[in-house]
Amino acid sequence: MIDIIKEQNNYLLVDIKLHEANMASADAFKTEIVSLLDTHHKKVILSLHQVNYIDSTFLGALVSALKHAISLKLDIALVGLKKDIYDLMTLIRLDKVFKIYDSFTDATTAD
Amino acid sequence: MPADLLEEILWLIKSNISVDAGISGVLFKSKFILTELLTNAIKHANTDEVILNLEITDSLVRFIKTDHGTPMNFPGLENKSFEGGIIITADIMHTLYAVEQNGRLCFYCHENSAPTININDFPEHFGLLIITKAADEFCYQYNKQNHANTFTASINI
Repeated sequence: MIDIIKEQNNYLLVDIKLHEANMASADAFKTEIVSLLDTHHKKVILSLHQVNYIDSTFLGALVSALKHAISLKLDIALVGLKKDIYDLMTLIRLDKVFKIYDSFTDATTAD
Repeated sequence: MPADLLEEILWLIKSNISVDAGISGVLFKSKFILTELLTNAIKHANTDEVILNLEITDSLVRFIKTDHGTPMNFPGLENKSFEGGIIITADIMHTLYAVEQNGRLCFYCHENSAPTININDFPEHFGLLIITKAADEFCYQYNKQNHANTFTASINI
């Protein structure tokens, strides 16, 4: 479900390979991302550029994963959000807790 | 919700509202209201059968979702009232509360000022919040006679 695209000193660049990020995939996603954080101990930059649909259950899994990252003194940033998904995150104020960038390059240069 | 069904309903809405009605905003709200209404049926009502009615007039788009699953339980926070209603959830970002109106529970949301955010205070459940914030009116009613849960969400256009 998630692919490591690139590993840098401090970052993992990771792609979510889902068109529909919903309750059917939320638990498995959370397990994979938590395992990635525990294993690599690096900040994760997560691309959602393939995701066309997202639901509240998957958003909950994203927040849960972010809590885990921060407990490890790491972080999860999001890139490549479709406009609808960005607008949804803004609507429920998830843009206040996730760092959101247009691209991997923007995310790595911003820190 | 299957993506093709969602797209079909969005197309139906797009085809039946005026181009002056701010189509992109209506479709954005409709997309996530529909997704969450049907997710709610599966997660909370334990049913995979729902009846979805769509009403489109000159002034609104309304979704009426009915299922015969488990009645919704909104325990609220004991002794916590807000703006004439009961608080359903309260966190650092939002106070979600429900007001009884003509036998229905109608949901409203207040954005809390959150000057500093501790991620551990942030919720992980967003379904009701998404519908409440996307809709101009969002209400729930349980009919004891026919054991029907009915959610109504309207978008003004």
